[in-house]
Amino acid sequence: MTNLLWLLPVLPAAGFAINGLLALAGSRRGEGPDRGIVGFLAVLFPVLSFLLTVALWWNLSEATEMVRGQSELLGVKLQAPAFAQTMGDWIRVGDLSISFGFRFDKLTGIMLLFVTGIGSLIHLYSIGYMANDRGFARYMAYLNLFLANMVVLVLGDGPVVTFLGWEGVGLCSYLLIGFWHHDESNGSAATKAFLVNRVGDLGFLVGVFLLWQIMGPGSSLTYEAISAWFRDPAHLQQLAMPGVATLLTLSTVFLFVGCTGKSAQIPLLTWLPDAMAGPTPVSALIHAATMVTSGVFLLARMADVFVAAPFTLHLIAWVGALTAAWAAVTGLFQHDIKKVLAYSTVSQLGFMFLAAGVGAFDAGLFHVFTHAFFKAVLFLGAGSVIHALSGEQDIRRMGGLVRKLPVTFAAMFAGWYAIVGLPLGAGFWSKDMILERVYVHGGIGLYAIALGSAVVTAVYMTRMMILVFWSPSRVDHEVAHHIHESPPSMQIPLWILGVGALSVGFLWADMIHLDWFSRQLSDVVGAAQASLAGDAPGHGPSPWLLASFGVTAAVVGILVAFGLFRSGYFRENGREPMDYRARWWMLAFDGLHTLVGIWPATVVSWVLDTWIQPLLMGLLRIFAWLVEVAGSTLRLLQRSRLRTNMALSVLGLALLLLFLARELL
Amino acid sequence: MIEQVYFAIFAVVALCCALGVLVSRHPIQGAMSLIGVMVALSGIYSLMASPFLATLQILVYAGAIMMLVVFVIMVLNSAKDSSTPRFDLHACVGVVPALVVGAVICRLVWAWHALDGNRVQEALAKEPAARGTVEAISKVLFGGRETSGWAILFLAVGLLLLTAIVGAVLLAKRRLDKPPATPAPSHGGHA
Amino acid sequence: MIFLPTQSLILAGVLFAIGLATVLVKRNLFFVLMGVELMLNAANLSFVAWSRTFTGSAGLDGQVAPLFSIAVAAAEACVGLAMLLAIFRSKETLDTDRFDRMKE
Repeated sequence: MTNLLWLLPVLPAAGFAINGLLALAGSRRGEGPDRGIVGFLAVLFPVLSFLLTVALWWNLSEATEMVRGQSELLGVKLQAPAFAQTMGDWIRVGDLSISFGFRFDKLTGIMLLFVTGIGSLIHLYSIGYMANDRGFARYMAYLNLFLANMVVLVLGDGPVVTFLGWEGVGLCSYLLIGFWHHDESNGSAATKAFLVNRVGDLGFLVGVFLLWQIMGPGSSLTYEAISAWFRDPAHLQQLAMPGVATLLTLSTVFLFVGCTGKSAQIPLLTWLPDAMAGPTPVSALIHAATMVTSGVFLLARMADVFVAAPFTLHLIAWVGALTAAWAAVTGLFQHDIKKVLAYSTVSQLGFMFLAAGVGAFDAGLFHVFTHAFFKAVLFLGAGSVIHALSGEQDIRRMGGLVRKLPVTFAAMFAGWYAIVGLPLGAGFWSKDMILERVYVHGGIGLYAIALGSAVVTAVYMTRMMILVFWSPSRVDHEVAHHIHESPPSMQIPLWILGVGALSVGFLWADMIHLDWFSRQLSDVVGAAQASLAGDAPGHGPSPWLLASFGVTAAVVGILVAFGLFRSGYFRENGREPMDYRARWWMLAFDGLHTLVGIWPATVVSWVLDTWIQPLLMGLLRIFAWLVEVAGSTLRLLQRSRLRTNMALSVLGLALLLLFLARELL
Repeated sequence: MIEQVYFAIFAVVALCCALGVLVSRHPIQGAMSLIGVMVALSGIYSLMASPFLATLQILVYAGAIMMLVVFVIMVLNSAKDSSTPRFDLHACVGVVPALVVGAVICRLVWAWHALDGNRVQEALAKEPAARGTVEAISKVLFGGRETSGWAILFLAVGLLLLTAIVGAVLLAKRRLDKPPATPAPSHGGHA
Repeated sequence: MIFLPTQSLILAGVLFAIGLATVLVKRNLFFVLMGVELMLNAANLSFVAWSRTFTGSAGLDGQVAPLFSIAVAAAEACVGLAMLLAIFRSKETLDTDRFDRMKE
């Protein structure tokens, strides 16, 4: 089974190749290649990948059970099994030897299950959503390529292989955000996403370099090696030395910068709202469920490294909390349904980072998992609404759709229920797990910010639901005639994900002692978490109490939203009163980027253009002048008079003679 | 001892005539001076036990080659060219390499003499060098029973002379369609 | 006491220098040819002088060389003069300073 790991990324990549070729081949025809074939292939390969993942997961579970039984028998803690496949040597320079390989353990398995699973569903959804688009085949090709890169990212056996996928998904994000490239603003949004990501990638790379420095040359830079190194007590002493500790902090901070870039945390978060320029399924897949969670995934993968750098963990926790709060407030002022969801994603990602920052990696990952479901269903539902309203995205011109789009409403209701954290929904279990851990390990300050964010989350999500579904219709008359429910290809994923949003929470319902999820991850992150605070969740206040705080927060938020709506604060027509303030709030980070990034670049380019360029041209001219002078001088040796020319030649000969006979003279 | 005197005379004549070639205006003067050099050199050859070569020098070099040169000078009758100034700036450039080469050669010879001169002198005192009589030279040239000597080269040189004759005839042939250049002194003086 | 070969060699060197100077200094083509002849003569003299430094019949080879040199000089003078004639016919002058068609 192990040597089939390579199929996991190769299957979607094959889909990319085939669909890409079909797209190229059909580019001359007016309609493009046949949508049936392209759609079928585009969904086939991800589904195959998903099935293979399930098979691998099954095998791994069996193997894990066997090992667990053996370790109980022997009384020793045996290492958890994992499937690993090395494809061959990749980079070999001096001391550095990195091989290209894949590793499938429980963490990878969970990530891949929902990446390929939700990925397949969204591919299916896209068939319906993009049915009338001229670039259908190209879209499917890009989507397949994205999936392939995401698989590589998750499946890689070391940070360098992961980086390959990391960059790849960034590229696909660019390609898909700017998919409708004839509109220049889409291209700018794509470029912005790519560039901001790039800054993060630089951080990632520097972090890896520094990590290699710390671990010493000769390490193979696989996750296995890294974890082993950082768990070794002998090395912990080494890490206590001030120089090494600083290096480790720097390394982890840089790695975290990479995570902020990919997962849109402060300060690299401005690209995600702009990324909504792409098609809605893209937003669902890339910017909600999968790519943006890579940052959290990386933190969990390298948990052993991060727990050795407490400063960085504090930083991560605070950045996560502040991002959650900031994005939640910003989401309150958005008119575009997709932008609301985008800021919601940023906010929820903040929660995940907050969890990682207080050492609750498994809680963070659980939220990744549940968030994938409910955010995907919210986005797909939004897509369904947009599709039904013939492209309308402004929630001020929606309303009253609860009767007209029942299926969509049901799905989005499930997603809404989950995200605000109402009891027994998926978000209830995962978000409250995080809040509980934050309370116990993170202190009151972080908890307060997190709880506040939860309240605001409830407010803006409810606002969205009200304005889209429950409020009287403000839909344009022309559009209202064409309102129709989505085709089956779009409905099936909505159904599946909607059910998921309500049910997957039970994979780890701690309070009723269902902890399947955390058991899966115990082998991967358990050691790291144990090495942090030794508090068992039993200490501190009762989880039921904290859970009730969470539910209260949700209910408060819902009531606030309804109250604001009743009092007419969300004025349906015309501008809302908080508009201008909202704009300033939103532009804060763009301004920061301009200040830090664009102005210095402009200054530097001006300096180069005005001073360095003429200097270099001058140098070149000097060289040219020198050559000219040399040439003209040498030309004097060629005379027009026969005898002078001969004389000079013979003179040269005479001098040569002198030189050759110099010792004898 | 008498050798030295003869040598001195011949050397002085040769030098003076060579300088004469250098400073003369008219080609005929130069040619005459050159003949003087060759005759002097012939004398030196005979001083150095090469009678055959000395004879050949007079016969061929002074007698045939220079005669040819004089002949052509008189055919062309380019008296006007001798009105050009003899030595100008460009001449100085030409003198320098000559001086350098001459100095180097003399110095090298002197160095050899300092190094090896005595040994050679003593060796020669014991067994003098061979005289270059016709017999001796022809033995070397044509070889004996065992070797063929320089015979082939000799024949090759003959061939060379033949080629030269043919070439010269071709080069100097008057084109029947082109009118001959009139060597009239109507061209103005040129710098 | 400098003996004969050395003196001859020095004389040969001087004659060679003078011949070289003649070639490089004079404007008349005839003089160029005569300078070349002078150089060849100097070379012959040096051959003979060197052959004189060998004892016995070993030096006779050095006297065969001038023989060939003279023959070749004859051929060369012949062809050279023919060329001179041809040049004179086309250029109307024998002044080498006037042969500057390749000048810019």
